[in-house]
Amino acid sequence: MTGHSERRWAGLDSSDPMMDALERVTGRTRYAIDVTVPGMAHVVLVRSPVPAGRIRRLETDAASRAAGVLRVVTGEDVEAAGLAGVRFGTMAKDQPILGVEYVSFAGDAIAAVVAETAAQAHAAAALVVPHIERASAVFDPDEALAADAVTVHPGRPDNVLGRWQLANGALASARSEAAFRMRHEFSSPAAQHVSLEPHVCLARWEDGQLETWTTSQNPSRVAEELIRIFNLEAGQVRLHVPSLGGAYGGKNHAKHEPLVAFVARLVGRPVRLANRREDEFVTVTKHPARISIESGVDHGGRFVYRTARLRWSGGAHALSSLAVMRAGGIAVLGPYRIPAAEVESVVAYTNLPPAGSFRGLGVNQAAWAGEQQVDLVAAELGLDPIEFRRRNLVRAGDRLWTGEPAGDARWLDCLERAVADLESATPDRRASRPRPEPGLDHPDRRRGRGVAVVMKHTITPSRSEAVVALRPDGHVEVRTSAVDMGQGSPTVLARIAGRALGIGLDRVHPILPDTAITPFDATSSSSRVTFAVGEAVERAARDLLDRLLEAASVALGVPPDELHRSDGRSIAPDGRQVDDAAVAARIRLPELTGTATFVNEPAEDVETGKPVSSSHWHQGALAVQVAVDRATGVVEIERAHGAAWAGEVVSVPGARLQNEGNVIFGLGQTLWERLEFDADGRPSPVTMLDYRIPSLLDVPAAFTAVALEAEPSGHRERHGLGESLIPAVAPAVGNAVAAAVDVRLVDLPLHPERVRAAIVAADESRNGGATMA
Amino acid sequence: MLARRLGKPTGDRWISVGRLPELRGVDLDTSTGDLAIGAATTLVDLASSPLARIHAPLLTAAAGAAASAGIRSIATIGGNLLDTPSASDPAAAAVALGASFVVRSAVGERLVPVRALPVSTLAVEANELVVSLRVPSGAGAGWSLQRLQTQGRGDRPALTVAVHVATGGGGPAGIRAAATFLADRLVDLGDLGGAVPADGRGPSTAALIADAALAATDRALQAGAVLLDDTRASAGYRRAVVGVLAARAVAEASGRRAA
Repeated sequence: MTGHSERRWAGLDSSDPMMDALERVTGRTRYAIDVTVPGMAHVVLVRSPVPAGRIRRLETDAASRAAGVLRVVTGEDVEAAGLAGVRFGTMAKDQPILGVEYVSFAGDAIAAVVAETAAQAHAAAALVVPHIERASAVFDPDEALAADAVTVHPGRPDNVLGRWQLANGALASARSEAAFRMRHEFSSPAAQHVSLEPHVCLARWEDGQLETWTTSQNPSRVAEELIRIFNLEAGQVRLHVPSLGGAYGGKNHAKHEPLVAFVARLVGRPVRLANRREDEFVTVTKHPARISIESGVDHGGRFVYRTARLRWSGGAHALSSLAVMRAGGIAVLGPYRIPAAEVESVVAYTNLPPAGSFRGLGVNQAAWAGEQQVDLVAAELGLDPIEFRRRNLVRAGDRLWTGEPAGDARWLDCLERAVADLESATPDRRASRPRPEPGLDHPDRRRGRGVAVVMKHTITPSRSEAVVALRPDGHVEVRTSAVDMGQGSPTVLARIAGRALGIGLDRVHPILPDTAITPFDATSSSSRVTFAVGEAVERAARDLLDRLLEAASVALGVPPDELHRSDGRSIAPDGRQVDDAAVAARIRLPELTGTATFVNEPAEDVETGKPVSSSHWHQGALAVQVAVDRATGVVEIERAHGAAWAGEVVSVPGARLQNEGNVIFGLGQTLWERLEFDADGRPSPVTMLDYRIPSLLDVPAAFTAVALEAEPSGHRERHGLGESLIPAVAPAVGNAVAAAVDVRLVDLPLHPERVRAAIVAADESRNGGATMA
Repeated sequence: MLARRLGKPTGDRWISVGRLPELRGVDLDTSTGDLAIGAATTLVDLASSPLARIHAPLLTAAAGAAASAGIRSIATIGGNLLDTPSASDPAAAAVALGASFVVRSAVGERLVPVRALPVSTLAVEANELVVSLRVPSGAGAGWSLQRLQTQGRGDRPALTVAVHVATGGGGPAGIRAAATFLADRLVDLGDLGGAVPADGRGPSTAALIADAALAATDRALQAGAVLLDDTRASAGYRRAVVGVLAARAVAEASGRRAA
């Protein structure tokens, strides 16, 4: 490996915790559900029991008379307010404030009950009797895209939510020249984010001003939606986002905010909506996907072409579907040298709960297909799958299949490090639980190893703004609309600001999003906060530093460029010094500020003149060892070793936790998480008793997930690490299972029952119909 | 309280017996050699009891594996066995060990074998109280608890098989087994030792044990038991692997048995 290191920042080591770690683990962090305002009432949604149909009538009398009920709000109220035609959404305006004419999924909101207490609102909501003229529904994306399909939304007869296509190279001739051609199909199920904190929104109106506290990854965009819907001026909406208890992309959309604001205005009281766990499963899900992928290779084991066709079920509302469609489409062919390629990615409206962004943004589904097929191709050629990847991965100077330059290509470094750690007899076990690595304790257990390499874009272009302000007390506030979801963004941004200003973290105060005082930010998603908001903060801090040094130079009588900084003091060459509080006092202003805007404009490919897909690439590789129990189908991940490209690590513990979290988060979706839908499109399971997520007990016995950095002397662009490894988990494990028991599963999860069934089927096939012993 | 939260019919008045010292703790009845475990002994206390670990390691292993650490610190062995015994690790262990409930009233006491538990809660008379669990000492015996988890290590099992291999004799008899999380009731797999030929000839012991466990399961189904079919596993999968777990349990238990 060359060109990178794992150097730790001087003065920062693993003992530096996340700034809010103690508050979080001692239950003192204040979440949206903890916010109360005087006179607050509670709102509970009445949901459609059927997936499609016309709303004929709602019987609301009993609910209206129930104890504590203030009002039952229906589509008629929305209509009376002149808002029936309003649609909102981040990427496509297709969400109504409340169902007015028709329902498009089981769980669609058709009424809202407002009561003094949440319990009263829930009790009354159960008394509302909907009369819905049921219509035919469609749940499968391919069926939804068929010519004779029923329509999910009037006015969208083809059910096409979005289509993305890209072709590059001479595909026809490449097909004819390929020595081997293979085509496979894979699928991924729906899942749920299961952030521990559900969606919560509180709204109040005072003197025509709307104030909202909400669980959103996207405060600036949600505020813009509220301004548009309620025809307000920018200063009339104030939106707060307290710390979130997880989000994973599920809170990346305007969801309940318009309805809660509408209801609050209607009843003249502040109101709060807090999802119960079962509500989460109809609020947003992960996209089910079906992906076919074809590859052609030459005799030397190199790709000649790859093509893919992706079909996504978007559910009834777009949410982030267009981004998922594009991200998955770009990622599906992988970071390989592919002379000719073509991808079509289509997302369909279906009568299912809306699917939205989900940690990995479509790359999970894409890599499950693409990286498993890489192993299948290697096997066909009789090549080791790691060696096959070595031959085909892009290097610096290469072009991606999209035709654009690969840029700072580090995929090979990631792969080599992950493989080296897997093969190492003494891997870094700091992240490991003190659990002995299990042995092959009975003959049914078979071991196998697998790898996967992933590429994921970051939103390009996007904009982040930052204000860094020196207060009179010499402390500094970092104001951004980056959302703290537990990922450690306050710590990262504070470190960046503190380093630029030469002050310690004890004097840096990151401010959580409050649109009255924090500037615009595109979104806290796409693993962009460290990269984009971090860059804005660094520039703002340097801007502040310039002003600070100017003021200090006046105080010390020394030109600014002769001053140096240490621990919040500006120091002259002769040793005289002035601290920041004294400088702040001298200027007689409430505060001294630095501001900056960062936009990651897509660079233009100098050869083609086309903009690139992503201003940089999230890069990662994972190598795993599994033990498969042939008799029960249980897959145990014994070892997992990941490497993700960080460029520059800002927070060592934060980077480690993000990388480890990636893998742990992916384990559940790989091994057992799956949301099923019944004949009415209702999801199951919808409780955490049955929908399980991984715990620390599931962490592999040997587990490392390292962040690779550029050489200190080189260009060190910071990369977010929120998603660099998660897409690799499922295909790496799938490849390892195939290596262990010679069975290739094409649908997730790798639940023991499904694995066993595949083994039995394979045995029967090999034995000419005889059953497994 | 759980039943109440779930909206099941419950009484108007509740009396807590949780703090009665007579209902807590683990003791050895020297006259019978049986272990006496107070019904209100928490699972965590049972799992860590040195006495129980010597005389009923199968039961302490089950108590230490059941539910989560938080629940084990509150849940009692009596409550665990009596509330949905079909979904209890300790229940499988208790049946394999031949344990009985001690049910006491003002006029005397009676023993009710755990394996006789009906589908739901044991019926007791109005003047009776389940005071303890009586477990024949299994010191030196072989034991195994096989828990098959399909949704992570923090989840309840999709199937549990407990096996107890009696000490002494050296022969194949005395292999008692039970399964939980398999059906809507406890499934007593009975004495699997009878399935093993004394001369060791014929099919492998594992296959014979697996067949015997499957046959016992099918007898339970014929008697009215219904296989569980849920997100953790289908009914067919559970039936398919009960023999696998039983065979592994017997192998492990036999290896653990004192010479």
